[in-house]
Amino acid sequence: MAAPEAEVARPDNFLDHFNQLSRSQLIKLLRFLPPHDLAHMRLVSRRFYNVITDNSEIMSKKERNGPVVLKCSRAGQFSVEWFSLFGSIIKTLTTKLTGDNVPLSELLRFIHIDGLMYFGEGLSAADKVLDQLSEPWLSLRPEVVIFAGDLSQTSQESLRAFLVKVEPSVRRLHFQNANNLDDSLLSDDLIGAAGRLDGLMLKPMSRNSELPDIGDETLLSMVDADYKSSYFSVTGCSGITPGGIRAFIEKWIKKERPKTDADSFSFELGCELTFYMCANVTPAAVEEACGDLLKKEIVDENEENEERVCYTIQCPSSNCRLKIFFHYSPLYSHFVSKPKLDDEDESIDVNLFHHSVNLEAEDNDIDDYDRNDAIDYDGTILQEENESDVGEVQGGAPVGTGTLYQQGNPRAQLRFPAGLVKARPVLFAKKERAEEMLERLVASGLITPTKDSDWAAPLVLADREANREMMVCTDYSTKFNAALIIDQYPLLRFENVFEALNWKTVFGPLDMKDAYLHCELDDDS
Amino acid sequence: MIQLCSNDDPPVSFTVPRKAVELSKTIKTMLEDLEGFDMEQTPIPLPNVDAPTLELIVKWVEQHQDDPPPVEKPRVEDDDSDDSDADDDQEPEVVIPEWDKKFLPTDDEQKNQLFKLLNAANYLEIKPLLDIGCKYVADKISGQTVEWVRDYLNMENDYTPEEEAKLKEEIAWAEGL
Repeated sequence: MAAPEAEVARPDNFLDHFNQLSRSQLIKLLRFLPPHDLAHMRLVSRRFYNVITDNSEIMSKKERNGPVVLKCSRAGQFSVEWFSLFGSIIKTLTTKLTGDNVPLSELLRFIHIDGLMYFGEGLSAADKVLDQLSEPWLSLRPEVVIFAGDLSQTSQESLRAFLVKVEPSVRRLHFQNANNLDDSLLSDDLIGAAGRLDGLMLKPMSRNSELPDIGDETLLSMVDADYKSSYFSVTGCSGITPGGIRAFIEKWIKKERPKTDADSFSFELGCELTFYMCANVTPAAVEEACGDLLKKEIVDENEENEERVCYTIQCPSSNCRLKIFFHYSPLYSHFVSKPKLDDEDESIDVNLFHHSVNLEAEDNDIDDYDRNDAIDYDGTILQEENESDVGEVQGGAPVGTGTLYQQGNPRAQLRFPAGLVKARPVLFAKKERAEEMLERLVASGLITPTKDSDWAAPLVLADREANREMMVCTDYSTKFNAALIIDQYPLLRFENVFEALNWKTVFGPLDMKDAYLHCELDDDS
Repeated sequence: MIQLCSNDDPPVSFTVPRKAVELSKTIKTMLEDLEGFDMEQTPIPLPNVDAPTLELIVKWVEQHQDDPPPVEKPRVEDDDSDDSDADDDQEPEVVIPEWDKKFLPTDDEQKNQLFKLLNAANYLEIKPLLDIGCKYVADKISGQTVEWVRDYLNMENDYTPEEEAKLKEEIAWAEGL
């Protein structure tokens, strides 16, 4: 609505309106009010309206942590979809950005956004939207910003203003299959407005994009990214040079990182650079410029027997690694899929496979498992039936029984007081096979017979239908589990897992034989 | 001891321990500026405060004179600095102490006295009193209808019916988020 005329400046002197609170008191008072009340209180009077709208940046806001998707239909209908953290939609708001309808900046006035902002289909990131979102009173603190819509009506100025607005919080910025991403839209300087990023993806929809103004400067700024996990994935950026990559590597190596414990179990730490279809960056050119620093690895071969190389370098002072790729699958592994409703799951799958035909996406991650000899597979990797080209992906992983554990695996420590539980009777029918299995375990050195102990837990014998083998387990739930001091550690959020699964076409179950026995305890335990 | 005078004619004066009166930043600064003068003998006139309100103020500062000074956070300066980063997401946390709950003029008939007290606290820069007073009023109006709030705060509806209708529509639209 049209804002009521600005309040006439009047002396903030309570004598003039003895029974009213002064403006500064109203501000103070209104800061105590919950956001829902604030929205209503604007109706009290113009004075209230002005006090609230002039100060909404310091007033309370409704927290919205789930993803927000902005879309624009062809007809110009603009919608904002709010998702909960668990993927269910909370509310969809629709408006037109012109005419008498409420502008976006008013709608978001009492809402605090963090998490993911996804500019989806249509002109969702047109200037008129970005300009609204850049209003100073809005509280936008997204960690991830994705531009996946049509950018034909987006100007540098508006985009810059928006990036400046979200700069304090944004850590990942993607231009992800954005349509009409004009070569002149993005530049080093513009990306710089977003501040320090841990992940940057530039992937225009058009294969002919060159993005000539994105160059080494943007790449070099990524040196400051989070040391644990960062990525720089670009497609068709002709401005990046092998020299710039060398400068990046040299800076990256020198960077101080917290010393990480080599024994501690952790995901691979480091930085991933992917240059796909970048005119000046070819494996040969990179090797020439910085071959002395890098180690070359063959990742895999594609259908034309063309080698896919990856260059790596280990940070001398920590276990961080820098990897440089030149093909597209590492790029897709960082794709952020558009938040969808739970019941849309099926259509996601269809889309996924549909895309996989066009984009030849494939799964690199499966190879990673092969490298770890300590793991035996008790199952095979299954191929999904679809039209995509999965020929080069291994159809199955090795099956067999190897040694159960190896030196160098991370060791777990168990800490507890003492407890004893009586043995449970074993079914006669199972007795023989159970003894057989126990003997096997004794023979392999995994368990040792004992005569007396502070601890005992009953056996659980589980039949496995798959291979008629019996699993001998110990029922630690009796006393042992309760007594354990449990290590607390963060789990991956499933959104992140699903995000990583996007564009993957091959899925399979991983059923490890004697899985728990692979986890080695430290000597004290 | 310091003497404070109300704006009544003739002025009513109150004698307050210096420590208590220094809860008011305004007076504290003034006393510091006048270091060296014998302030014990000079009544301080308070042209913006009437006798009943001043009496309440005096009661309050005497009760709270031994309170530990409030922790100075960066956002305390939010009045003069426009640095929105410091106070962006911080909701001021204020709990009204038991004594203050009884002290505040909380009957609806006394609401104007309450507003006068808050205005005086503002003028005298007694931040803790201002905080609890505003918190009290905020709790009072939270969840109430617009008409009730308007009446309680002695305000007038100065919207045109069209403006009001439009604003209502806008509020309804963003409802439920």
